[in-house]
Amino acid sequence: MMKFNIEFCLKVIEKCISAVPLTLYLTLWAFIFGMILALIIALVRYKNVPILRKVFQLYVSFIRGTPVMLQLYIVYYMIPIAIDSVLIRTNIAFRTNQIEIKVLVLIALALNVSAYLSEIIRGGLISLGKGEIEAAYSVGMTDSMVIRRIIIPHVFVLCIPNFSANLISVLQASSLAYFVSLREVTGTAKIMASSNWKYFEAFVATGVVYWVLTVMIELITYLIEEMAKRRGYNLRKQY
Amino acid sequence: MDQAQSMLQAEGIKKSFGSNQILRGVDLEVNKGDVVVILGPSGAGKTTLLRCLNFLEKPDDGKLRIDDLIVDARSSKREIVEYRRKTAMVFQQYNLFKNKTALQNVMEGLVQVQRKQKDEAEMIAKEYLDKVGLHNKYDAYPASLSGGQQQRVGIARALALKPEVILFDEPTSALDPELVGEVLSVMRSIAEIGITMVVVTHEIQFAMDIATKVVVMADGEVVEQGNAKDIFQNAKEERTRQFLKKIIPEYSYVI
Ligand SMILES: Nc1ncnc2c1ncn2[C@@H]1O[C@H](COP(=O)(O)OP(=O)(O)OP(=O)(O)O)[C@@H](O)[C@H]1O
Ligand SMILES: [Mg+2]
Repeated sequence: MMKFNIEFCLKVIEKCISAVPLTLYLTLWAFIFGMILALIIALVRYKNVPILRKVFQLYVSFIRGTPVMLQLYIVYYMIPIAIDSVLIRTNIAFRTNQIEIKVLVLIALALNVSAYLSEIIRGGLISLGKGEIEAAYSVGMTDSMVIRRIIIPHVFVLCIPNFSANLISVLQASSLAYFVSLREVTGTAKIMASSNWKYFEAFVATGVVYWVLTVMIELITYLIEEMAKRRGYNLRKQY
Repeated sequence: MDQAQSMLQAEGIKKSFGSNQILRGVDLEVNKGDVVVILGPSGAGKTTLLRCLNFLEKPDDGKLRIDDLIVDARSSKREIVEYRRKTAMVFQQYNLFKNKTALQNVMEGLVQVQRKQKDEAEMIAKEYLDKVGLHNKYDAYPASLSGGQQQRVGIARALALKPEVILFDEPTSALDPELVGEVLSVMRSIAEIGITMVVVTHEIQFAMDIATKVVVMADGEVVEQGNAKDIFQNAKEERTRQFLKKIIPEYSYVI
Protein backbone atom coordinates (compact mmCIF):
# COMPACT_ATOMS: atom_id res chain seq x y z
CA MET A 1 0.00 0.00 0.00
CA MET A 2 1.14 3.49 -0.80
CA LYS A 3 2.01 5.78 2.04
CA PHE A 4 -0.16 8.87 2.50
CA ASN A 5 2.04 11.83 1.69
CA ILE A 6 1.05 14.51 4.19
CA GLU A 7 3.60 16.95 2.89
CA PHE A 8 2.15 16.81 -0.61
CA CYS A 9 -1.34 17.03 0.77
CA LEU A 10 -0.47 20.23 2.64
CA LYS A 11 1.15 21.64 -0.46
CA VAL A 12 -2.04 21.00 -2.40
CA ILE A 13 -4.10 22.63 0.33
CA GLU A 14 -1.87 25.67 0.13
CA LYS A 15 -2.32 25.91 -3.63
CA CYS A 16 -6.05 25.27 -3.32
CA ILE A 17 -6.37 28.15 -0.88
CA SER A 18 -5.00 30.44 -3.54
CA ALA A 19 -7.73 29.08 -5.85
CA VAL A 20 -10.48 29.76 -3.31
CA PRO A 21 -11.17 33.26 -4.69
CA LEU A 22 -12.12 31.77 -8.06
CA THR A 23 -14.31 29.14 -6.43
CA LEU A 24 -16.02 31.82 -4.33
CA TYR A 25 -16.34 34.06 -7.38
CA LEU A 26 -18.19 31.30 -9.23
CA THR A 27 -20.29 30.35 -6.23
CA LEU A 28 -21.34 33.79 -5.06
CA TRP A 29 -22.07 35.34 -8.46
CA ALA A 30 -23.95 32.24 -9.56
CA PHE A 31 -25.98 32.44 -6.37
CA ILE A 32 -26.71 36.15 -6.73
CA PHE A 33 -27.75 35.95 -10.39
CA GLY A 34 -29.63 32.74 -9.67
CA MET A 35 -31.48 34.49 -6.86
CA ILE A 36 -32.54 37.39 -9.08
CA LEU A 37 -33.77 35.01 -11.76
CA ALA A 38 -35.47 32.86 -9.10
CA LEU A 39 -37.34 35.87 -7.73
CA ILE A 40 -38.65 36.68 -11.20
CA ILE A 41 -39.65 33.05 -11.85
CA ALA A 42 -41.33 32.72 -8.47
CA LEU A 43 -43.28 35.96 -8.87
CA VAL A 44 -44.40 35.07 -12.38
CA ARG A 45 -45.60 31.68 -11.23
CA TYR A 46 -47.14 33.04 -8.03
CA LYS A 47 -49.00 35.76 -9.93
CA ASN A 48 -50.02 33.33 -12.70
CA VAL A 49 -48.74 35.52 -15.52
CA PRO A 50 -50.26 33.76 -18.59
CA ILE A 51 -47.69 32.22 -21.05
CA LEU A 52 -44.54 33.04 -19.04
CA ARG A 53 -45.84 30.93 -16.21
CA LYS A 54 -45.85 27.84 -18.44
CA VAL A 55 -42.43 28.64 -19.85
CA PHE A 56 -40.90 28.90 -16.38
CA GLN A 57 -42.72 25.82 -15.20
CA LEU A 58 -41.09 23.85 -18.02
CA TYR A 59 -37.74 25.50 -17.29
CA VAL A 60 -37.83 24.60 -13.60
CA SER A 61 -38.88 21.07 -14.42
CA PHE A 62 -36.03 20.67 -16.96
CA ILE A 63 -33.35 22.08 -14.67
CA ARG A 64 -34.42 20.03 -11.70
CA GLY A 65 -34.78 16.93 -13.84
CA THR A 66 -31.30 16.95 -15.40
CA PRO A 67 -27.77 16.80 -13.94
CA VAL A 68 -25.77 20.01 -13.44
CA MET A 69 -23.06 18.44 -15.58
CA LEU A 70 -25.37 18.29 -18.58
CA GLN A 71 -26.45 21.89 -18.04
CA LEU A 72 -22.82 22.95 -17.88
CA TYR A 73 -22.15 21.23 -21.21
CA ILE A 74 -25.17 22.88 -22.80
CA VAL A 75 -24.08 26.33 -21.68
CA TYR A 76 -20.42 25.67 -22.47
CA TYR A 77 -20.68 23.95 -25.87
CA MET A 78 -24.12 24.17 -27.35
CA ILE A 79 -25.34 27.67 -26.58
CA PRO A 80 -22.14 29.38 -27.85
CA ILE A 81 -22.39 27.45 -31.12
CA ALA A 82 -26.01 28.44 -31.50
CA ILE A 83 -25.30 32.09 -30.73
CA ASP A 84 -22.29 32.25 -33.03
CA SER A 85 -24.18 30.70 -35.91
CA VAL A 86 -26.62 33.59 -35.63
CA LEU A 87 -23.94 36.26 -35.08
CA ILE A 88 -21.97 35.12 -38.08
CA ARG A 89 -24.80 36.19 -40.35
CA THR A 90 -24.82 39.69 -38.89
CA ASN A 91 -22.03 42.19 -39.00
CA ILE A 92 -21.64 42.18 -35.24
CA ALA A 93 -17.97 41.46 -34.53
CA PHE A 94 -18.66 39.80 -31.20
CA ARG A 95 -18.10 36.03 -30.95
CA THR A 96 -18.85 33.88 -27.93
CA ASN A 97 -15.23 32.76 -27.60
CA GLN A 98 -14.61 36.26 -26.28
CA ILE A 99 -16.63 35.32 -23.21
CA GLU A 100 -14.42 34.09 -20.41
CA ILE A 101 -14.84 30.46 -19.44
CA LYS A 102 -15.55 31.36 -15.84
CA VAL A 103 -18.47 33.51 -16.96
CA LEU A 104 -19.98 30.59 -18.88
CA VAL A 105 -19.58 28.36 -15.85
CA LEU A 106 -21.20 30.87 -13.56
CA ILE A 107 -24.09 31.26 -15.99
CA ALA A 108 -24.62 27.49 -15.95
CA LEU A 109 -24.49 27.39 -12.16
CA ALA A 110 -26.81 30.41 -11.89
CA LEU A 111 -29.37 28.82 -14.19
CA ASN A 112 -29.19 25.62 -12.19
CA VAL A 113 -29.63 27.18 -8.77
CA SER A 114 -32.35 29.57 -9.98
CA ALA A 115 -34.75 26.66 -10.48
CA TYR A 116 -34.27 25.40 -6.94
CA LEU A 117 -34.36 28.85 -5.38
CA SER A 118 -37.52 29.75 -7.27
CA GLU A 119 -39.31 26.77 -5.75
CA ILE A 120 -38.17 27.80 -2.27
CA ILE A 121 -39.32 31.38 -2.81
CA ARG A 122 -42.63 30.17 -4.23
CA GLY A 123 -43.16 28.06 -1.13
CA GLY A 124 -42.35 31.09 1.00
CA LEU A 125 -44.79 33.23 -0.97
CA ILE A 126 -47.54 30.69 -0.53
CA SER A 127 -46.86 30.47 3.20
CA LEU A 128 -46.80 34.26 3.44
CA GLY A 129 -50.31 34.20 2.05
CA LYS A 130 -52.13 36.73 -0.03
CA GLY A 131 -53.37 38.55 3.04
CA GLU A 132 -50.24 40.47 3.91
CA ILE A 133 -49.47 41.29 0.31
CA GLU A 134 -52.98 42.62 -0.21
CA ALA A 135 -52.75 44.62 2.98
CA ALA A 136 -49.55 46.17 1.64
CA TYR A 137 -51.23 47.12 -1.63
CA SER A 138 -54.22 48.46 0.24
CA VAL A 139 -52.06 50.89 2.23
CA GLY A 140 -50.94 52.20 -1.14
CA MET A 141 -47.65 50.47 -1.80
CA THR A 142 -46.33 50.12 -5.34
CA ASP A 143 -45.16 46.74 -6.70
CA SER A 144 -41.55 47.53 -5.91
CA MET A 145 -42.38 48.60 -2.35
CA VAL A 146 -44.30 45.36 -1.84
CA ILE A 147 -41.31 43.36 -3.05
CA ARG A 148 -38.86 45.36 -0.97
CA ARG A 149 -40.87 45.77 2.22
CA ILE A 150 -43.03 42.66 2.40
CA ILE A 151 -41.80 39.88 0.15
CA ILE A 152 -38.07 40.22 0.70
CA PRO A 153 -38.08 40.61 4.47
CA HIS A 154 -40.75 38.01 5.12
CA VAL A 155 -40.17 35.34 2.55
CA PHE A 156 -36.42 35.74 2.36
CA VAL A 157 -35.84 35.70 6.06
CA LEU A 158 -38.04 32.65 6.43
CA CYS A 159 -36.12 30.94 3.65
CA ILE A 160 -32.63 31.60 5.02
CA PRO A 161 -32.04 27.99 6.11
CA ASN A 162 -33.03 26.69 2.66
CA PHE A 163 -31.05 29.35 0.85
CA SER A 164 -28.00 28.47 2.86
CA ALA A 165 -28.32 24.81 1.90
CA ASN A 166 -28.52 25.81 -1.76
CA LEU A 167 -25.53 28.10 -1.52
CA ILE A 168 -23.59 25.11 -0.23
CA SER A 169 -24.80 23.01 -3.17
CA VAL A 170 -23.60 25.68 -5.58
CA LEU A 171 -20.23 25.67 -3.85
CA GLN A 172 -19.93 21.93 -4.35
CA ALA A 173 -21.26 22.10 -7.91
CA SER A 174 -18.68 24.75 -8.78
CA SER A 175 -16.10 21.95 -8.60
CA LEU A 176 -17.46 20.72 -11.95
CA ALA A 177 -15.75 23.73 -13.48
CA TYR A 178 -12.53 21.67 -13.64
CA PHE A 179 -14.13 19.70 -16.50
CA VAL A 180 -13.89 22.80 -18.63
CA SER A 181 -10.34 23.39 -17.42
CA LEU A 182 -10.93 26.15 -14.91
CA ARG A 183 -8.33 26.29 -12.17
CA GLU A 184 -10.63 26.67 -9.23
CA VAL A 185 -10.08 24.54 -6.12
CA THR A 186 -10.72 21.14 -7.71
CA GLY A 187 -9.00 21.99 -10.97
CA THR A 188 -5.89 23.16 -9.16
CA ALA A 189 -5.67 19.99 -7.09
CA LYS A 190 -6.18 17.81 -10.13
CA ILE A 191 -3.42 19.48 -12.08
CA MET A 192 -1.00 19.07 -9.19
CA ALA A 193 -1.88 15.41 -8.80
CA SER A 194 -1.51 14.64 -12.49
CA SER A 195 2.25 15.24 -12.22
CA ASN A 196 2.86 12.59 -9.54
CA TRP A 197 -0.37 10.54 -9.50
CA LYS A 198 -1.02 11.37 -5.85
CA TYR A 199 -4.75 11.80 -6.52
CA PHE A 200 -5.79 10.58 -3.10
CA GLU A 201 -3.80 13.28 -1.30
CA ALA A 202 -5.11 15.88 -3.72
CA PHE A 203 -8.75 14.92 -3.18
CA VAL A 204 -8.32 14.86 0.59
CA ALA A 205 -6.91 18.36 0.26
CA THR A 206 -9.90 19.62 -1.74
CA GLY A 207 -12.19 17.92 0.77
CA VAL A 208 -10.64 19.90 3.59
CA VAL A 209 -10.92 23.16 1.69
CA TYR A 210 -14.58 22.63 0.70
CA TRP A 211 -15.47 21.51 4.17
CA VAL A 212 -13.95 24.59 5.77
CA LEU A 213 -15.78 26.82 3.27
CA THR A 214 -19.04 25.01 4.01
CA VAL A 215 -18.62 25.41 7.74
CA MET A 216 -17.98 29.10 7.20
CA ILE A 217 -21.22 29.46 5.22
CA GLU A 218 -23.07 27.62 7.98
CA LEU A 219 -21.58 29.92 10.58
CA ILE A 220 -22.61 33.03 8.67
CA THR A 221 -26.09 31.57 8.23
CA TYR A 222 -26.33 31.00 11.95
CA LEU A 223 -25.36 34.59 12.69
CA ILE A 224 -27.93 35.94 10.21
CA GLU A 225 -30.61 33.68 11.69
CA GLU A 226 -29.86 34.91 15.18
CA MET A 227 -30.11 38.49 13.98
CA ALA A 228 -33.46 37.76 12.34
CA LYS A 229 -34.78 36.05 15.46
CA ARG A 230 -33.89 39.06 17.55
CA ARG A 231 -36.01 41.13 15.18
CA GLY A 232 -39.03 38.98 15.83
CA TYR A 233 -38.83 36.61 12.87
CA ASN A 234 -39.73 33.05 13.65
CA LEU A 235 -37.68 30.84 11.37
CA ARG A 236 -38.65 27.52 12.87
CA LYS A 237 -42.35 28.00 12.56
CA GLN A 238 -42.35 27.93 8.77
CA TYR A 239 -39.82 25.27 7.96
CA MET B 1 -78.55 64.32 -3.43
CA ASP B 2 -76.02 67.11 -3.13
CA GLN B 3 -73.66 66.48 -6.02
CA ALA B 4 -70.90 68.61 -4.51
CA GLN B 5 -70.56 66.22 -1.60
CA SER B 6 -70.31 63.08 -3.69
CA MET B 7 -66.92 61.65 -2.84
CA LEU B 8 -66.77 58.11 -4.11
CA GLN B 9 -68.69 56.86 -7.05
CA ALA B 10 -68.80 53.46 -8.69
CA GLU B 11 -70.49 53.21 -12.04
CA GLY B 12 -71.47 50.01 -13.81
CA ILE B 13 -68.90 47.84 -12.05
CA LYS B 14 -68.73 44.38 -13.61
CA LYS B 15 -66.50 41.53 -12.55
CA SER B 16 -66.30 37.90 -13.61
CA PHE B 17 -64.13 35.07 -12.41
CA GLY B 18 -63.79 32.79 -15.39
CA SER B 19 -67.27 32.36 -16.83
CA ASN B 20 -68.84 33.22 -13.50
CA GLN B 21 -70.18 36.76 -13.48
CA ILE B 22 -70.05 37.98 -9.88
CA LEU B 23 -70.85 41.69 -10.32
CA ARG B 24 -73.39 42.58 -13.00
CA GLY B 25 -73.04 46.33 -13.17
CA VAL B 26 -73.07 47.86 -9.70
CA ASP B 27 -73.58 51.56 -9.12
CA LEU B 28 -72.74 53.07 -5.77
CA GLU B 29 -72.52 56.61 -4.54
CA VAL B 30 -70.87 57.58 -1.28
CA ASN B 31 -70.90 61.09 0.13
CA LYS B 32 -68.40 62.61 2.48
CA GLY B 33 -69.09 61.46 6.04
CA ASP B 34 -71.42 58.68 4.91
CA VAL B 35 -71.50 55.33 6.64
CA VAL B 36 -72.73 53.01 3.91
CA VAL B 37 -73.63 49.53 5.08
CA ILE B 38 -73.79 46.78 2.47
CA LEU B 39 -76.01 43.81 3.29
CA GLY B 40 -76.85 40.74 1.31
CA PRO B 41 -76.79 36.97 1.23
CA SER B 42 -73.58 34.98 1.01
CA GLY B 43 -72.19 34.95 -2.49
CA ALA B 44 -73.95 38.18 -3.43
CA GLY B 45 -70.64 39.74 -4.40
CA LYS B 46 -70.19 42.09 -1.44
CA THR B 47 -66.55 41.23 -0.83
CA THR B 48 -65.84 41.38 -4.53
CA LEU B 49 -67.40 44.83 -4.76
CA LEU B 50 -65.40 46.11 -1.80
CA ARG B 51 -62.20 44.71 -3.28
CA CYS B 52 -63.00 46.46 -6.53
CA LEU B 53 -63.52 49.72 -4.63
CA ASN B 54 -59.97 49.29 -3.25
CA PHE B 55 -58.80 48.10 -6.68
CA LEU B 56 -57.43 44.91 -5.15
CA GLU B 57 -59.63 43.39 -7.83
CA LYS B 58 -59.62 45.02 -11.23
CA PRO B 59 -63.17 45.53 -12.49
CA ASP B 60 -63.73 44.18 -16.00
CA ASP B 61 -65.95 47.10 -16.80
CA GLY B 62 -67.14 50.29 -15.17
CA LYS B 63 -65.57 53.32 -13.58
CA LEU B 64 -64.51 54.31 -10.11
CA ARG B 65 -64.17 57.89 -9.02
CA ILE B 66 -62.84 59.43 -5.84
CA ASP B 67 -63.00 63.20 -5.79
CA ASP B 68 -61.84 63.96 -9.33
CA LEU B 69 -59.64 60.91 -9.86
CA ILE B 70 -61.30 58.43 -12.20
CA VAL B 71 -59.93 54.93 -12.75
CA ASP B 72 -61.06 51.94 -14.76
CA ALA B 73 -59.67 48.70 -16.18
CA ARG B 74 -57.40 50.64 -18.55
CA SER B 75 -55.83 52.93 -15.96
CA SER B 76 -52.08 52.90 -15.51
CA LYS B 77 -50.39 51.41 -12.45
CA ARG B 78 -49.59 54.92 -11.27
CA GLU B 79 -53.21 56.00 -11.36
CA ILE B 80 -54.28 52.82 -9.59
CA VAL B 81 -51.74 53.35 -6.81
CA GLU B 82 -52.84 56.95 -6.49
CA TYR B 83 -56.46 55.82 -6.32
CA ARG B 84 -55.66 53.15 -3.74
CA ARG B 85 -53.96 55.71 -1.54
CA LYS B 86 -57.30 57.48 -1.21
CA THR B 87 -58.88 54.32 0.16
CA ALA B 88 -57.99 51.94 2.95
CA MET B 89 -59.24 48.49 3.71
CA VAL B 90 -59.98 46.64 6.92
CA PHE B 91 -59.99 42.91 6.26
CA GLN B 92 -62.09 40.11 7.66
CA GLN B 93 -58.90 38.18 8.55
CA TYR B 94 -57.11 41.37 9.75
CA ASN B 95 -54.14 40.74 7.41
CA LEU B 96 -51.65 42.37 9.73
CA PHE B 97 -47.95 42.23 8.86
CA LYS B 98 -47.07 39.29 11.08
CA ASN B 99 -43.42 40.10 11.54
CA LYS B 100 -44.10 43.66 12.62
CA THR B 101 -45.30 44.96 15.95
CA ALA B 102 -48.62 46.76 16.30
CA LEU B 103 -46.78 50.06 16.11
CA GLN B 104 -44.76 49.04 13.04
CA ASN B 105 -47.93 47.81 11.35
CA VAL B 106 -49.45 51.27 11.64
CA MET B 107 -46.19 53.07 10.80
CA GLU B 108 -45.47 51.07 7.64
CA GLY B 109 -47.79 52.99 5.34
CA LEU B 110 -46.93 56.32 6.93
CA VAL B 111 -43.19 55.86 6.42
CA GLN B 112 -43.09 53.95 3.13
CA VAL B 113 -46.06 55.38 1.30
CA GLN B 114 -46.53 58.81 2.81
CA ARG B 115 -42.78 59.32 3.31
CA LYS B 116 -43.14 60.66 6.82
CA GLN B 117 -40.13 60.86 9.15
CA LYS B 118 -39.84 57.92 11.54
CA ASP B 119 -40.52 59.90 14.71
CA GLU B 120 -43.47 61.75 13.20
CA ALA B 121 -44.89 58.44 11.94
CA GLU B 122 -44.39 56.91 15.37
CA MET B 123 -46.27 59.75 17.02
CA ILE B 124 -49.17 59.42 14.60
CA ALA B 125 -49.21 55.63 14.94
CA LYS B 126 -49.33 55.86 18.74
CA GLU B 127 -52.12 58.41 18.55
CA TYR B 128 -54.24 56.03 16.48
CA LEU B 129 -53.41 52.97 18.52
CA ASP B 130 -54.52 54.99 21.57
CA LYS B 131 -57.75 55.83 19.72
CA VAL B 132 -58.56 52.15 19.29
CA GLY B 133 -57.66 51.42 22.92
CA LEU B 134 -54.30 49.74 22.41
CA HIS B 135 -52.02 52.16 24.24
CA ASN B 136 -50.39 49.26 26.08
CA LYS B 137 -49.80 47.07 23.03
CA TYR B 138 -47.44 49.13 20.87
CA ASP B 139 -44.71 46.52 20.84
CA ALA B 140 -46.86 43.39 20.67
CA TYR B 141 -46.61 41.15 17.62
CA PRO B 142 -49.91 40.10 16.00
CA ALA B 143 -49.53 36.50 17.15
CA SER B 144 -49.70 37.64 20.77
CA LEU B 145 -52.86 39.72 20.28
CA SER B 146 -56.47 38.56 20.45
CA GLY B 147 -58.58 38.70 17.29
CA GLY B 148 -60.34 41.81 18.54
CA GLN B 149 -57.05 43.52 19.28
CA GLN B 150 -55.64 42.53 15.90
CA GLN B 151 -58.67 43.94 14.15
CA ARG B 152 -58.29 47.18 16.10
CA VAL B 153 -54.68 47.40 14.90
CA GLY B 154 -56.07 46.87 11.39
CA ILE B 155 -58.48 49.76 11.93
CA ALA B 156 -55.71 52.00 13.34
CA ARG B 157 -53.53 51.13 10.34
CA ALA B 158 -56.30 52.22 7.97
CA LEU B 159 -57.28 55.34 9.95
CA ALA B 160 -53.71 56.62 10.36
CA LEU B 161 -53.36 57.00 6.61
CA LYS B 162 -56.25 59.49 6.63
CA PRO B 163 -57.83 58.01 3.51
CA GLU B 164 -60.92 59.53 1.94
CA VAL B 165 -62.84 56.36 2.67
CA ILE B 166 -62.28 53.22 4.75
CA LEU B 167 -63.68 49.94 3.47
CA PHE B 168 -64.58 47.28 6.02
CA ASP B 169 -65.22 43.70 4.91
CA GLU B 170 -67.08 41.88 7.68
CA PRO B 171 -64.63 43.21 10.26
CA THR B 172 -66.19 41.26 13.11
CA SER B 173 -67.21 37.98 11.53
CA ALA B 174 -63.95 36.16 12.30
CA LEU B 175 -64.14 37.19 15.97
CA ASP B 176 -65.36 35.29 18.99
CA PRO B 177 -68.73 36.75 20.02
CA GLU B 178 -67.35 38.35 23.17
CA LEU B 179 -64.81 40.32 21.12
CA VAL B 180 -67.27 41.73 18.59
CA GLY B 181 -68.37 44.55 20.88
CA GLU B 182 -64.95 46.16 21.26
CA VAL B 183 -64.46 46.37 17.50
CA LEU B 184 -67.96 47.68 16.83
CA SER B 185 -67.55 50.36 19.47
CA VAL B 186 -64.31 51.54 17.84
CA MET B 187 -66.15 51.65 14.53
CA ARG B 188 -68.99 53.63 16.06
CA SER B 189 -66.56 56.16 17.46
CA ILE B 190 -64.86 56.69 14.13
CA ALA B 191 -68.23 56.99 12.37
CA GLU B 192 -69.08 59.74 14.85
CA ILE B 193 -66.00 61.79 13.98
CA GLY B 194 -67.16 61.88 10.38
CA ILE B 195 -64.89 59.32 8.73
CA THR B 196 -66.43 58.07 5.50
CA MET B 197 -66.99 54.33 5.69
CA VAL B 198 -68.30 51.51 3.53
CA VAL B 199 -69.03 48.49 5.68
CA VAL B 200 -70.03 44.98 4.73
CA THR B 201 -71.52 43.40 7.84
CA HIS B 202 -74.15 41.10 9.19
CA GLU B 203 -74.45 43.11 12.41
CA ILE B 204 -77.95 44.40 11.87
CA GLN B 205 -78.22 46.43 15.07
CA PHE B 206 -74.97 48.16 14.19
CA ALA B 207 -76.27 48.90 10.71
CA MET B 208 -79.52 50.33 12.07
CA ASP B 209 -77.64 52.53 14.50
CA ILE B 210 -74.93 54.06 12.38
CA ALA B 211 -75.71 53.59 8.70
CA THR B 212 -76.52 56.76 6.81
CA LYS B 213 -77.31 54.52 3.87
CA VAL B 214 -78.04 50.82 3.54
CA VAL B 215 -77.36 48.99 0.29
CA VAL B 216 -78.80 45.53 -0.25
CA MET B 217 -77.03 43.32 -2.75
CA ALA B 218 -78.02 39.98 -4.23
CA ASP B 219 -76.75 38.04 -7.23
CA GLY B 220 -74.15 40.64 -8.11
CA GLU B 221 -76.57 43.54 -8.19
CA VAL B 222 -77.76 46.30 -5.93
CA VAL B 223 -81.33 45.28 -5.18
CA GLU B 224 -82.34 48.23 -3.11
CA GLN B 225 -80.84 51.14 -1.24
CA GLY B 226 -82.01 53.80 1.13
CA ASN B 227 -81.72 54.92 4.72
CA ALA B 228 -81.85 52.31 7.44
CA LYS B 229 -85.50 52.95 8.18
CA ASP B 230 -86.53 52.58 4.54
CA ILE B 231 -84.77 49.29 4.22
CA PHE B 232 -85.58 47.70 7.54
CA GLN B 233 -89.18 48.84 7.76
CA ASN B 234 -90.38 49.56 4.25
CA ALA B 235 -88.40 47.29 1.97
CA LYS B 236 -89.95 47.48 -1.47
CA GLU B 237 -88.16 44.58 -3.09
CA GLU B 238 -89.12 40.99 -2.46
CA ARG B 239 -85.46 39.88 -2.45
CA THR B 240 -84.70 42.41 0.31
CA ARG B 241 -87.56 41.15 2.44
CA GLN B 242 -86.54 37.57 1.98
CA PHE B 243 -83.00 38.35 3.00
CA LEU B 244 -84.08 40.34 6.05
CA LYS B 245 -86.43 37.57 7.11
CA LYS B 246 -83.48 35.21 7.18
CA ILE B 247 -81.24 37.36 9.32
CA ILE B 248 -83.78 39.04 11.60
CA PRO B 249 -85.90 36.38 13.30
CA GLU B 250 -88.57 38.86 14.36
CA TYR B 251 -88.57 40.57 10.95
CA SER B 252 -92.19 39.83 10.10
CA TYR B 253 -93.23 41.74 13.21
CA VAL B 254 -91.20 44.80 12.30
CA ILE B 255 -93.44 45.38 9.29
N1 LIG C 1 -60.88 35.03 -6.67
C1 LIG C 1 -62.01 34.36 -6.99
N2 LIG C 1 -62.00 33.42 -7.94
C2 LIG C 1 -63.11 32.76 -8.27
N3 LIG C 1 -64.32 32.98 -7.72
C3 LIG C 1 -64.41 33.92 -6.77
C4 LIG C 1 -63.26 34.66 -6.34
N4 LIG C 1 -63.65 35.53 -5.39
C5 LIG C 1 -64.97 35.33 -5.21
N5 LIG C 1 -65.44 34.38 -6.04
C6 LIG C 1 -66.84 33.92 -6.13
O1 LIG C 1 -67.63 35.05 -6.25
C7 LIG C 1 -68.85 34.87 -5.57
C8 LIG C 1 -69.14 36.07 -4.71
O2 LIG C 1 -68.14 36.14 -3.73
P1 LIG C 1 -68.06 37.28 -2.64
O3 LIG C 1 -66.99 36.88 -1.73
O4 LIG C 1 -67.97 38.60 -3.31
O5 LIG C 1 -69.47 37.16 -1.92
P2 LIG C 1 -69.95 37.83 -0.57
O6 LIG C 1 -71.19 38.55 -0.89
O7 LIG C 1 -68.85 38.60 0.04
O8 LIG C 1 -70.29 36.56 0.31
P3 LIG C 1 -70.06 36.31 1.88
O9 LIG C 1 -71.21 36.94 2.59
O10 LIG C 1 -70.12 34.81 1.97
O11 LIG C 1 -68.75 36.86 2.24
C9 LIG C 1 -68.76 33.58 -4.80
O12 LIG C 1 -69.50 32.61 -5.50
C10 LIG C 1 -67.29 33.23 -4.87
O13 LIG C 1 -67.10 31.85 -4.95
MG1 LIG D 1 -67.63 38.33 1.76
